[in-house]
Amino acid sequence: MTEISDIDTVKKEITSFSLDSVDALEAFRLKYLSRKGIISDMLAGIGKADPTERARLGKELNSLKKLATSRFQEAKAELSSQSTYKKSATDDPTLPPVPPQIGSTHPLSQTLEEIKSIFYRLGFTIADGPELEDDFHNFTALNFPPEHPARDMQDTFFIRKDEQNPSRNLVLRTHTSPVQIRLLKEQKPPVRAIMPGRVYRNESITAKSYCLFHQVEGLYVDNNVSLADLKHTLITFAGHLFGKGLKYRIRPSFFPFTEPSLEMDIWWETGNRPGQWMEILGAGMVHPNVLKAVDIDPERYTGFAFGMGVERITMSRYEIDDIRLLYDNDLRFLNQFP
Amino acid sequence: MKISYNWLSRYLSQIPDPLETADILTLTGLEVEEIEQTGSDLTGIVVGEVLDVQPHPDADRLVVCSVDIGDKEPSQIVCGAPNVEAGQKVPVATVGSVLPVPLPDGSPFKIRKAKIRGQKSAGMICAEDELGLSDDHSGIMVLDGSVTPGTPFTDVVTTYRDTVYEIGLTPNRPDATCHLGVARDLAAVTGARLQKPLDALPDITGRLEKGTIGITDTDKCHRYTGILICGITVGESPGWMKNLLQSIGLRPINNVVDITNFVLHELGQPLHAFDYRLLSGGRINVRSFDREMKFTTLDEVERTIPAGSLFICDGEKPVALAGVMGGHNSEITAGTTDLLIESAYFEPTGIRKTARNLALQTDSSYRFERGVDPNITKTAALRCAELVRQICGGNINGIADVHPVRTEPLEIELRHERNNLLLGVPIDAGKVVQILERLEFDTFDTIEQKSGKAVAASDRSDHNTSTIWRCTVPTFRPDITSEIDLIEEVARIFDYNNIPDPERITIAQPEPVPFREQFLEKVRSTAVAAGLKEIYTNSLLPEHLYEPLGGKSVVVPTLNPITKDQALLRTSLLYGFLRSAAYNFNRGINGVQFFEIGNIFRKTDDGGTWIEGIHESTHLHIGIAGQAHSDHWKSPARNYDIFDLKALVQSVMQQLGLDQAVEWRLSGDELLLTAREGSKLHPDRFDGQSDRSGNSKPLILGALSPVSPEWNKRTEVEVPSFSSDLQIDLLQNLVQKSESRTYKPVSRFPSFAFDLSLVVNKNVASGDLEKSMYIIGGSQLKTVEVFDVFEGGSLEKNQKSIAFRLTFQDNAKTLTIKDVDPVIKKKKKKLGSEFATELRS
Repeated sequence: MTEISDIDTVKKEITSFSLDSVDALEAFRLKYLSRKGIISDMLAGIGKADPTERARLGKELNSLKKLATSRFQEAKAELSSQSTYKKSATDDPTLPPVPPQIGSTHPLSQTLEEIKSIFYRLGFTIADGPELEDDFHNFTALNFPPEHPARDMQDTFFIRKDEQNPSRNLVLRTHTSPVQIRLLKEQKPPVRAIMPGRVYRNESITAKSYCLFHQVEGLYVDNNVSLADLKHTLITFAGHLFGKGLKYRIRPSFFPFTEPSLEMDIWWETGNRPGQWMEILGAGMVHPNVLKAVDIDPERYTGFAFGMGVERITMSRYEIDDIRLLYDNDLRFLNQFP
Repeated sequence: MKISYNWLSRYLSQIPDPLETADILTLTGLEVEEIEQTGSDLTGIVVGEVLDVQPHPDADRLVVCSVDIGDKEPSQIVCGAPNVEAGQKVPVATVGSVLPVPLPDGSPFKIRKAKIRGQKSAGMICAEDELGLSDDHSGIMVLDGSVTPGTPFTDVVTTYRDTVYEIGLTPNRPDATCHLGVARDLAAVTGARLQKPLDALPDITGRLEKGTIGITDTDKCHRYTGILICGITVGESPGWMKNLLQSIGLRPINNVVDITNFVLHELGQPLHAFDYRLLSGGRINVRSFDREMKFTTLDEVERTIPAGSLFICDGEKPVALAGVMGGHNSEITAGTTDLLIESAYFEPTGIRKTARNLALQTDSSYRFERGVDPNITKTAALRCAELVRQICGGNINGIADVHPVRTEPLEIELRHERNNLLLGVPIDAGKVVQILERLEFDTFDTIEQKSGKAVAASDRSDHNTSTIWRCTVPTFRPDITSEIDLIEEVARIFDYNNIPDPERITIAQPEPVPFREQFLEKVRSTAVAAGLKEIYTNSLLPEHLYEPLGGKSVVVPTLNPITKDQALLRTSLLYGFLRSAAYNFNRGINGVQFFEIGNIFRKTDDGGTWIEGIHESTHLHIGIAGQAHSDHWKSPARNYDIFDLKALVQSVMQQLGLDQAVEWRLSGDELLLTAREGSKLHPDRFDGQSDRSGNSKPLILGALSPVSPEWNKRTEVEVPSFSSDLQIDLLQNLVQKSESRTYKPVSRFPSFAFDLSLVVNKNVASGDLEKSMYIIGGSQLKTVEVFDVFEGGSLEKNQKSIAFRLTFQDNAKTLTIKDVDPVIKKKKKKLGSEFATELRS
C-alpha cells in the first residue's frame, strides 16, 4: 500500500512512465487507474489522514488522478493514431480492393455519340431505317443506273430469294442513303436529319476491310439550300470534331445520288508519321433525280447530303491500324476506351 | 489509273511543276492518290579519276584504288571489278549517297565508310546496273576521258526521269481515262493551250473493199473503223515511246502493240491490231453468239465466254473478244507484215457484262465500260496509222468506216441563275462561259439571240443572271446529260474551295430528337451504369449455323457471300457474344460481362418490320461468362451465376423505370421477362385484383438463361455462361405508354418488418410465393425480401424452407403488429391453400 505521503514520488513515476506500446499502456492503467490501482488505494487512505490535511490531500490526489488519466488518454490516442493499436493482418488499406466492374461504351459508339451531338447543335434530328433493304431504296431511287459499278456483285450482299417472293431483289444496304429516301417519302421539306447505321460490303475480313461498317449520313432539303451551305456545315462539323484551325480541302468527287459531289480531306499528322491528306467524308447536292423519285420538285427545293464512316474516323483518331480490333471485342482493347 | 507528267506536258503549252500539277488535278476531281518518281536518282554520284591501282594485300580478287573525286585528297576505294585501271574516269558513289538500285532485300543501298578485308574504302566505283542504267554487270562503267573529276554524274549521262500519278478515277469521267483528257482539265484551270496531237493525221484515199468489215450486232457495236497497212516491219519501239509506256507501268512489246497502247493512253480509244494474213478471208464481222464459246485470248488462256458476248470474227472464226482482249490466233508476231487496225465503239453494258463474267478487266474493257467517245473512232485509227507509218514503215492500203449507229452531241440548257443559286456563290457569266469552253462545250446565249442588240449593255452586267445558255456537250462526255451536270463542271473548275462561307448558318426549325433515339441512348447508358462493356459483333454468321439458328423458316441467308463465314444474317446476338467471350478466354482473360445493342433478322409470315416477310428488330443482349472475379484476399474466385445476370437485367429495368412494370416467369430453363399484367407503370403497390394468376398469355419482353451446352460447344466457351436477350422495341413501347412520372410523397411514418418462414415442396417457385404475397399484402406491403433458403436438416427430403422479410408501411400512421396481423393471417391461409405451405415462425 502506497502511503499518501508518496504523492510526489507517484507523480514523478506517472510523468516518466514510458507509454510506447499497447502493453505498457495496459500496465499503466492497471498500476494507477484500475480499481485496485495506486490512486484508488491512496484515495481510500484519505480517511486515515489528519482531518486538517484531508482537503489538501483530496485536491492533490484528484489532480494526480487527472494527470494519470490524461497521460493514459493521450498515449492511447497516440498509439491508435500510429495504427499499431490492435492491428490485424487485413487492417492494411494498401491491400487491393475487389476490382470494380466498370461499364463502358464501345469506341465506335463513343465516336458516333460525338458526331451526333455536333449535328444536334446544328439543328439536325435523327432518323433510321432497316439494314436489310430492297433494291429500290438502296439503288434505284438513289439514281444508280442499272449497270452502275457500285452494283457490282462483289460489293453488295444480295439476299437469297425465297419461294414467296422469287422476283424481289433484297440487299444488305451498302450505305445509309436509303434512309434519305424513306425519310423524304414520309416528310416534306424542310428536312434536316442525320442517319447513322450499320452498312455492309461483301468483302473478306482483313486488317483493312470488314464485311460491315458504320456510317452517318446527313440530309438537308429546303428552299435555297446551296453548295455554300453544305461546305459551311461540313467545315463547322470537322472543326468541332477535330479541333478548330484544322487544315482541310474540298475536292470534286462522284456519287450517283448527289451532284455536284465532293469529298472532304483533312490534313492529318499524328505521332511520327508524316502529315497526309485523309478523306473523312463524301457529300454533295442532292441529285434532282433523287428528289423526283420521292415526288419533291427539284425546282422548288434543293438540298445537300453527306456521309462519313465511323470506323475510319475512330481508327485515325486512335491510330488503330487493324479494323478487326473493333469487332474482336478484346477486353484489353475495350478497356482503353473508358 | 497511271498518268505520266512528261506525257501530259506533250499536250500543254505550259504546265506547272509536278507537285502543283498534282494538286490542281486533285482539286478538279481527278484525285491524285499517289505520286511516284521514276528513273534513277543519281544524286551523290560523281565522276572520279583512278590515279593508282594496287593489289589488295589480303584478297586476290580485290584491288585498292586511289581515286580523285574532286576533293583535295584522293579517296581510297576498294574495288572488285576486273576492268579497273589507272587513268580511267569512272562513276563513283560517294560516302553518304544512296544507289538508285536498292539491295536485293529492297532496303536502300547506302554508301558508308567501310573496311573491306582490312583496307579502308570510302565510296564505290559503280557498274551500269548498280546505277540503274542497264543490266550490265560485267565491269565498272568507264567514262569519256575528258570529264573533270568531281563533276556530278547527272551532267555526264542523261537518264529518263518522270513523275507518275496514280489517279483514283470516278466512274463518271470516261473522258479522263487518257492523257489528253487529263490535260484538258489541267488546261481548263491554268488557261494553258491544249495541243491535240491530231494535226498530221494521214489523208487516206483508199477504201477497203466493200464487205471487208461488217457489223451484224449493231446494238452492241455502233461503229467500226479498220485501216489496212501493208509491208510493215515489226521491231522495237523508239525510246521516247518506250519511256512513256514504262512510266505508266506498261512493258514495251513491239512497235505495233506499243503504238496501239500509246494511242489508247493518249486519246482513250482502245485499239487492236490484227495480223491481216491470219484473218481468214481477209474479213471482219462483229457479232455475238447465243451460246457459250471457247476462246483462247492473247494471254494464251482458254476461256469459256458467256452467251451474248460480242466477238470480232474473221471469215470463219472469232479472232478477238470485242472490247476486252484480242485472240491468240491473230496476234501480231515478229513476222507480221500486214496489219489491220481496229478502232470501234462498243456499247458499255455489253462489255461490262462480259468482263464481269470473266473477271477480266483490261485497259480496253475499263474504257469501253465507262463509255469511250463514239466520235473519236476514226480519228484514233488515223492517229494509229500515222504512228505505224512513221515507226513501222509500210503503206496504208485503205480504210473502212462502218458506222451504223450515230451519236449526235446533246444540247442542254444552263440557267445562270440556277447555277449561282445552287452553288451559293455569284459566278459571273464570263467565267461560266470560259470554263465551259475550255472543257470544249459550245455555249450559245439564248437570251442574247432572242432579243438581239436590243438588250442594253447595262442589263448584261454581272447582276443580271437571267442568261440561259444552250450548251453542246462534247461526245467524249457521255456523263453530262442534264443541267445539274453542267453546274458541276462549272463548280469543279471554279474550285469548291473558292466558294465563300455564308455569313450566317441557317437552321430549319429544329425538330426534337425522336423518342426512339432517346430511348436507345438511355438503354446504352443504363447498361454501362450496370458495369457492362459494350461490344460490336458481326451481323453475318457462318453457314454451318443454318439449322441451329432455326433453319429455313427463320434464317435469312445471303446470296453471294465472299466466304462461307458471312452466309447468314444473325437471328440473335448470342453467337456474337459467345465468340467475343471465347476470344477473350483464349487470351487469358477469366471473365467477361458484355452487352450489345444490334439488329437481328428473322423471316416472318406476319407482315414484317420494314420489308414484307422480314422481321428486323433491335435487341439488347447481356451476356456474362467465366469468373465474376478471380482469387482475391477477401474471397476466393467465383464463377458468374444466373443471379449475377438477373441482377444486371434488373438494374437495367430499374434504371429504365420499368421495374414495377415487368415480372419474371419461369418457363423450362428460361426465365422470361414479361410485362406485368394490369400494372400501371409506376404504382406504389400492385393491385392484386387484376391478376388472374398467370393463366393468360403474357407479353414476353425477353428471356434469361444459362447458355446451352450445344452453343457453348459451337463457340468453344468452356466456362459457365449466361445470356439474356431483350427486345428494345417492346421495352420502348412499355416506357412510351407509361403515364408521365409524378412525385409520390415519402411516408413520414416508420416501417414495420415481419419475418415469415415457409416450408414448401421443392418444386414451388420462390417467385410465385413472392408474387402471391404482393397480391395479398395490399397497399401497405412495400417490399418482400428473401433472406434465407435452406433444405435438409429437420426438413423432409422433398421440402425446402424460404424465409421472407415483409416490410409494411403506411402513409398516414405508424403500423404495429396489430395492423399487420390480419394480413399475415390471410396470407398464411391463402398460401396454405395455394402452395401447401407450412409456417415455421
